[in-house]
Amino acid sequence: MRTRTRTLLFAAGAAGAAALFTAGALDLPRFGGAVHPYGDRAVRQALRESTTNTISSVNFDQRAFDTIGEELILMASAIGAVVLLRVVGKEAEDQGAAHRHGPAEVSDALRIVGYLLLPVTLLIGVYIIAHGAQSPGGGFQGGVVLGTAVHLLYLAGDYPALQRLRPIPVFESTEALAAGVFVAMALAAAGAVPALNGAVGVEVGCALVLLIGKFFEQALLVREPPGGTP
Amino acid sequence: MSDPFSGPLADALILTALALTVLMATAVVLTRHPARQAVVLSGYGMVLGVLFLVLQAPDVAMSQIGVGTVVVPLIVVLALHATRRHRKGGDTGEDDRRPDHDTSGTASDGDPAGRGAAGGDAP
Repeated sequence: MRTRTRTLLFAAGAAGAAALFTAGALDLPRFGGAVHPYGDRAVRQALRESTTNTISSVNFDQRAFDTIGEELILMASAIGAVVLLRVVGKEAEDQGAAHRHGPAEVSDALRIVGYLLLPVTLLIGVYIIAHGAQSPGGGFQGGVVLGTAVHLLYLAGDYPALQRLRPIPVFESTEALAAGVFVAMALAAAGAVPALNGAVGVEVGCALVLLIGKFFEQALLVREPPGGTP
Repeated sequence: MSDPFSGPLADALILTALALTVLMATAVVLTRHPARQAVVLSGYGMVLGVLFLVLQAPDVAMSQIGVGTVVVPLIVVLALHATRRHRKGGDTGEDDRRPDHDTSGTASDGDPAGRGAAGGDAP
């Protein structure tokens, strides 16, 4: 396609998007206004189901279907990372323990902070999931905290320990299981907010561990033997 | 208004958060070195989280801080490290061989050189 055609095509698309966006934004309530038609209804419905955190009520009760879609997107991206970043062709994988990023190379301060923060952060993750129905937080946020917290072990300089803490195959099956449980529960019993929070928390945590774990493997362990592709 | 979250003080708070966001977003764009950019991006995620918090959306702020401040920069740093390692043919030692031309010292990217790559190097 010629540059000129491309520019024209982009200009047409951009103009259309701008027109639609303006038309859609014109009728929105004013920023910071006192009238919240959707908010009022959502809060009323949330309180009727005695879920004090309206956001969780919207996510797991009133709009549980949307959340299914989001969970499946996250699962698809985790599967994509696992499939794309597998060891292929001439690549070989180091043993984690043989790796040079051993415990000796990190300063004591960083190691102590990492080891101290690990249990605290895990606890915070569990708390955010468990209290998602009552206070700000929920399965996704807590899952993100859980999924990233384990990598404090790497900051503490102990990559082999991190590998023992998160055996990839276990997390793969747990992720699939949690996603299945979530879909089944969302279809059968939408509104069981704490339980759905738990399922989402496990699913998101596992997905992030898989995703980041695969990137860690690529960055640290996978190597091409000399004489491979330039 | 009886609402404690509105009034001139709240407006000032929101404007400050918005200004900070604009500042950090500009800093992300102006930082040219990818590893440093990941760190500045992390700061931008934090400021965005503060903005969401000021706008009374703590749930969104939590997600933003988790994903924008931790996960995305971490993955960027790991991907950078992996590409550099593969380019050098499986050697782990590297870093800072690229003459980085960090434009304009925005206050936020003054982190020590190479700190951004701390995700995985320095043999």
